Amino acid sequence: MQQQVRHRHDFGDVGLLQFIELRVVLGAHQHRHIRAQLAYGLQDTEFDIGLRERNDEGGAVLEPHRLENFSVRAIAVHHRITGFAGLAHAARVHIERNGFEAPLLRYKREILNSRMPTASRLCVRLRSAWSASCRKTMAVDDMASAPPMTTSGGVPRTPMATTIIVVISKPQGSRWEHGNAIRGTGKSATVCYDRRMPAATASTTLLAMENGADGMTLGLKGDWRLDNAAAIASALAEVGAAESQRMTVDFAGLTAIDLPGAWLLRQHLDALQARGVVVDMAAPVPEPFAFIAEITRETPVPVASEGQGLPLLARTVAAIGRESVEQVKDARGALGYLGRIVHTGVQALGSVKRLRLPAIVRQVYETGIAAVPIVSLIAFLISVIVAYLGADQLRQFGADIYTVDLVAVAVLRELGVLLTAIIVAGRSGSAFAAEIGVMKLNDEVDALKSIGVNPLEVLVLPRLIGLVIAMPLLTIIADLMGLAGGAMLSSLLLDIPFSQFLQRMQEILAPTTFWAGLVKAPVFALLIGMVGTYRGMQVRDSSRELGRLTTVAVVQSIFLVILADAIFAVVFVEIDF
Amino acid sequence: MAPEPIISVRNLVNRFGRQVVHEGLDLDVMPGEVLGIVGGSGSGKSVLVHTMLGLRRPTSGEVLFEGKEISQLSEPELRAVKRRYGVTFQHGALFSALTVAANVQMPMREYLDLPNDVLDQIAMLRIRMVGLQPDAVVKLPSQLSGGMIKRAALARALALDPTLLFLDEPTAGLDPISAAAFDELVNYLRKSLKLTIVMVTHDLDTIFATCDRVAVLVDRKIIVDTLAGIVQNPHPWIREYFHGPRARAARQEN
Repeated sequence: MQQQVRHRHDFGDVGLLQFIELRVVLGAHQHRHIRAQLAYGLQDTEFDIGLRERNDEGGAVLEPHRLENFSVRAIAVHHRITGFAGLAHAARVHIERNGFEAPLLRYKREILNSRMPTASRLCVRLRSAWSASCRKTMAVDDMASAPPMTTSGGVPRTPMATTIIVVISKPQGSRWEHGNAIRGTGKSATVCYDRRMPAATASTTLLAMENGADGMTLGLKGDWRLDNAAAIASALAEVGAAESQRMTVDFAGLTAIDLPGAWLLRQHLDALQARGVVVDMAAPVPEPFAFIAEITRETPVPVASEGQGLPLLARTVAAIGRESVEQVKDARGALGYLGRIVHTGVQALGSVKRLRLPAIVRQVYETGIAAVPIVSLIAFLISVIVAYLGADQLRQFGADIYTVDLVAVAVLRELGVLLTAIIVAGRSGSAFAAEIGVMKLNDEVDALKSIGVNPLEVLVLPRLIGLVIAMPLLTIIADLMGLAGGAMLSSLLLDIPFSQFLQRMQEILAPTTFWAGLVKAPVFALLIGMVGTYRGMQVRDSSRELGRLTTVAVVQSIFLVILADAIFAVVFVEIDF
Repeated sequence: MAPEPIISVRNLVNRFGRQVVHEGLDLDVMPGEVLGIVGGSGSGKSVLVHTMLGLRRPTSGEVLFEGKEISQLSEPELRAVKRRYGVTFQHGALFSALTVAANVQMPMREYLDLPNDVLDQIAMLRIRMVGLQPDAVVKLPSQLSGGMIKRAALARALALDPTLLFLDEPTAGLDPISAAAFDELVNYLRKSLKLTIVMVTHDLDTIFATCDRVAVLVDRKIIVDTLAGIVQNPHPWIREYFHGPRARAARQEN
């Protein structure tokens, strides 16, 4: 229930006001515009102020929260303030309005009915309402007695602009105290307003249901327009609960109805009719209904049926099943893709022209040379870290020199190639997926096919071959930089000079160690390239797919690289490589 | 008294570097009319529309929306203006990750605070208004045909009951039957909803079927006249446009 404690109107002994209610009643055609404008007033305020529209009498209600200063600006022209029903412990109300019409402020309807101040700038001061006792009277006359602004010629004039500012401020030291609506003291006073909009209130203002001899009469009232749609829907929801076999809709009380309002009513009436209620519309039927009849003539709107959800268990099982089928399909798709690529590659190897050397060279540049700085840096730093941690441990046994073994073996066998693969997956795997994905979205892939060019040959093979060439080269660079990092740290921290580092390396390294790392590079390159291009080729329909599949490409290629690395490790140990 | 124009463009100048697109251009859009904007490629139709929409700041000159200069409006005021018009773009510009219903609801979610079931119902209304089948609501834009995309875009443009509708090439890329159906739809909605429509189009059939007035962008200026008047205009480009072989066929039909 919207709690609404109104000002008591007993000006003699100030009724402590609890609500500010600024009702702006508009010419029917202007309603929407104004409401939008009002909403901006909200944004202009410094404080947390809620602003809502109330559905009674087509009015708008401002519900300030936690306010000391509250200002509404930019109310469009043609609006009148017709009600200013209550005012929260206000020390000052400052209304600055320039409008085509002077505002009519009513603190009390009876009093002000005949009085319409023509000032363009009204200062309403609840004069000294808070000065000492908080018990002083606000005189309605304050408003009327405010001096009208005059033009330079001294002639009172109908003002012309578009501002209303309502400022409610509370003097220092005064106390908010009345009821539970207002709490707090001092500057941080909180004025609480209940914002809930109950269906009951809405329905009484938008709908009047009357039971007569020949069924129920549904009297529509007030504003049935888009901005009010939430209230309209809740008002209509109440009609559904009513039991009646015959219903007449009466539009006489309506101030305005637009297409969405009429649509909501029509839909609801259709649902009722489907349940066997006879619905009549009393003439004159507003215009939108004819339009709705027109657009629904050919295919009637299906009456919304009850939700047919499966039980939770069934849904879960279904989801698992669907996901499994998807995974199997995905794996089969990937296998098919691999086959097509091998097929295309074997064909392309037959002629130099079909290998598309310029494209391959470009890929080597983009995936390889452009990645040199980052790969070098990361390889260098990681090997410094490994050497540092290793030296720290090994020193305890006086086995400092074994740091060289650690760094050399780790970098050459694993770290160099693995780091390179992960960086390349992040850099180039995602690039492949995104590039090819965008081409898919643009129908460029279909365009290639229509020209008679195999997109795998033009888009995928050069990327794969380029990456297979670039990865080993990058790996060699990463190895070198890794060793350099280890050497640097050894000479700085362990007093192992560079020459000794080299000598030790030559002693301990088997001739296969370097190759054990390098041989993995082309394999990793193939995995990254295949996953990236495959996911790119899967993109269709939307930009969201593109993002999703690019992510999938990176995650899966890193996963596959590490899986392959594990297999390599086991195999190498088995064959003593 | 003549009605106030909804949008007036006054002395508009648009320049890109040394290339002048508009030079002292004036244009009024009157309430309730359908105004077609035509012009050769590169004559600045899109620039003009973007300027009118407040999406682009002109080099100089002003655009008045109901008498208010839009470049002077504060952000909230501009938002209020934007709520009053709906726009469809040439390629639909539907949000590809959202279903048709979600696309149509998008402006309402932005401006109104409505519960989901009400949004669903109103989205259905919009979809029916533009002649889409009810099952279209759950589809993604990529599952729609060209004509359906145009209609869905129109449904989104109509979401907030605009008074002013901008259509950019509404029938481009449609087959003649769909294009004619779209023209009919525009006429129908305009009559029923009392819309003001500004459309950029090259489709002579559309111009003859829907427009009250035609604005032709030539020589960095604009020539506006009624449909009957513009056809008689002696300007060589306009003559070529309305009396070329394609135009003759279109006029005969109408």
